Amino acid sequence: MKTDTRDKILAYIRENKSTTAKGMAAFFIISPQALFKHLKILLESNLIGKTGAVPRVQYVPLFLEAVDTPAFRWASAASAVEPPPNWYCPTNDVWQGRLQRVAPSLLRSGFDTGAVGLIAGVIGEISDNCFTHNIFAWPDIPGCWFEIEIAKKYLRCYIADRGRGILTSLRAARPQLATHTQALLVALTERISGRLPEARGNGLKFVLAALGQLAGDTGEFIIQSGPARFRHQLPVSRAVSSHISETAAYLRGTYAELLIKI
Amino acid sequence: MRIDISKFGATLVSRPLGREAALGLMASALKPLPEGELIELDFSKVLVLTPSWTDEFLQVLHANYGQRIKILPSDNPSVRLTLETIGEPTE
Repeated sequence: MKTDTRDKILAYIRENKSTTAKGMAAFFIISPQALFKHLKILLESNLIGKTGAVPRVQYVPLFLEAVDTPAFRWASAASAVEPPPNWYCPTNDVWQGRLQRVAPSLLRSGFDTGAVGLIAGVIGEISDNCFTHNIFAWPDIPGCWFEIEIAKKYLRCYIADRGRGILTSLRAARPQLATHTQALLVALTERISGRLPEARGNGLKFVLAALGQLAGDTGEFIIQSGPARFRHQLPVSRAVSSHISETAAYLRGTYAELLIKI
Repeated sequence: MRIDISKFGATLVSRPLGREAALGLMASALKPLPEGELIELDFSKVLVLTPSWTDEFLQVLHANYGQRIKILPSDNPSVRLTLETIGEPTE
């Protein structure tokens, strides 16, 4: 019975994205004591997180069961429309300007200097790929969706593009790659670049290694191209292939999501 | 000669900017560079370092100054991981 209520509370938080204890107590018609008991277990299980200070604490989902975010819907939609201006970086210089604000924001929100270097580096390398691998080759909308939400000891980041995707990019260097899953595995584990004859291809290896060093933090990392999705809770391990699966939701370009709570 | 890399910025990301930084350095602080003088790269004040920026930056410097480039050790995890990822030994 308790588990049933807890599942309903979790589903409610996931559906609403962000909600207060007062709102939940009214919705479920349960005592604050009973509600906080369920919330405490959900927090300890890292299924939800808290943002804001008393009395305006918001409860947010930490691990979404399915990827259903505005950034993902934009990247996977059949028709191309410009993202909201707050998140849209049509060119490299706009993106660089916004990227420079990430590390100072993380420091202000309570992340330590070492973690900030790794996290901002991860965000930088992933979003840099949006431009590097699609310059002069954008199929429709140029640039990337660059959405960063930073609260106290909490980061949520969505990066997406409607570019060529990892498989198409890597086939320039390795024409025998047949599937999106193979391409994603190669991109995450091998030193290879789609920009032959230049010697590149370190970015995503750095990303996984950096996320493997965030041992004290909880969170999740997702990267998807085509139907192939890598999904791993932090810290990321070296067992990459067992965390790649094919999903029903397809996108031509690339989508990444990073959630971190300290 | 010691070069404080943080003068290029606190968050160093992307290849074009890494290449631009190296070319700018060659045209300013390293010109002229006395015969036999080492170039010591100090990353200690950099907040965020990435392989894309660093690989391009060091490729240009290595091509022009070879063994005269020395990278000083740093405690910053993003500096250490970046140098490890691109296979650059520190002093």
